[in-house]
Amino acid sequence: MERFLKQFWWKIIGIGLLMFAIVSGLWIPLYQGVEGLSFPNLPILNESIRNLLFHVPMWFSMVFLLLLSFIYSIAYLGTPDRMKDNYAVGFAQVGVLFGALGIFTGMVWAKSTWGAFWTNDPKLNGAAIGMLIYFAYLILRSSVEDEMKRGKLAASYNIFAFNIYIAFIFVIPRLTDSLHPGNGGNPAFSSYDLDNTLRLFFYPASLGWIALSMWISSIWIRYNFLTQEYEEYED
Amino acid sequence: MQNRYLCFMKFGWQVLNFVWLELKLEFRLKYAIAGLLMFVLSTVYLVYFSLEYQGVRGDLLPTIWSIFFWLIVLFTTVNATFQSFSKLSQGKMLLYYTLVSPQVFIAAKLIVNALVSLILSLLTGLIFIFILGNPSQQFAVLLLSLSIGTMGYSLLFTYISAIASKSGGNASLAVVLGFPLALPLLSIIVKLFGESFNPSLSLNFDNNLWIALGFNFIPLLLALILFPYIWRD
Repeated sequence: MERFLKQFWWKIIGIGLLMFAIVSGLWIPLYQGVEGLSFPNLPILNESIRNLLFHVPMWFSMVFLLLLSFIYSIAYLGTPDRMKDNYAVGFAQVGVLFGALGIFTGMVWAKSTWGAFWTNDPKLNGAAIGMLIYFAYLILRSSVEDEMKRGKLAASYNIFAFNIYIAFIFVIPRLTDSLHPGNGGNPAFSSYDLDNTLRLFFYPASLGWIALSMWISSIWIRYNFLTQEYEEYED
Repeated sequence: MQNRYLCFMKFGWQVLNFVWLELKLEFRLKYAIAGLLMFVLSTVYLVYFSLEYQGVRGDLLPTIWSIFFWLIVLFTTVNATFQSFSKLSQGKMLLYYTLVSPQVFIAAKLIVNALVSLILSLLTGLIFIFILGNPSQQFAVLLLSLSIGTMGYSLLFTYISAIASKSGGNASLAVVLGFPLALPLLSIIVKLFGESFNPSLSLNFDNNLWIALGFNFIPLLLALILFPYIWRD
């Protein structure tokens, strides 16, 4: 993983995909009855359909980063090692950042389609609770002085929290009514919901955002590691 | 095969013994239980007074009843589970450490805390019914959702309290760590609880019941798996 994070190729590809998705996502017109490259023109969504290339991939990257954090926490409990702890907390922090970005883009989208910035939707509640859970994780980390102890407690809390969080955001919305696609009888990313042109840009955008989030977290983790080393050196 | 069965029997026997010991200790230290009862009584009285002086106690909405009820049950459960760890001294921990395996310890703690918080929440419910009236039309549903919810909280908060007490924090740290995790279960339990105010059950009842049971099961399993890693200092 360390070697993978230092390599360049996936960063270049990721940024390329992201540039492609953003530029074309803002540039391609909606369907106006003329043949050619166009996004579907749906009644309520209108131009806001372009947000699909921002909002949804941000959530994907958040879940991906939290999953990585979870895996590093398990690894830390197996064999405690400072670097694994650094990875776990770094991924969780950048995951929270992407969650916040996902909430903001989602709020803009909700205002234009559902008419309000915030609605009582299971997925929105899940998002808010997820943020709270990971803030609690960071508070737990800051409340313990001893490094070994902090790593162990934080890792076990992270594993505990991630399982409950995943059960909450992936299981409950599917069983109750939701305004989001794919829930409570609404169609998911199926052929008539997400059309082929949009899909052509949606998948690159997802990969691009995930790559960007990985890049940001790799820089953040390295920065934290160097700060720690410097502080120890000063002491 | 026989060996595994014997192992399981031994584990169960140890857990039962430990539960018995813990219960005896819990009821010998009367101030702990009495303190929690005092907490419940005084908060219920606070609710009673505030409703009385607002003049809304007579036509109290069931929703308000359930909001106050679950808030009080949540805080009582947090206090009950947290003190079961915080009152363990370092020496006692060392004694347990030499006597039993971590799984036995946490399993016994989970069972004892579930029992204690179940008793406390039933008492809370009783006091609520006496003082604020009984808004439920299906009493069995109320009892069922109350016991499942309380069990879920106590299982969750037992592990969270173990983390909080290990980190040297106080009960407020347990609250900070536990409440976000308790919200998913709370959102389901409030729905289940609300069903008891209606004359008949909705179609979603079974679904929600299974989800609530699932949220009981996840903390139980994770606590048994994760506790051995944090119990040594």
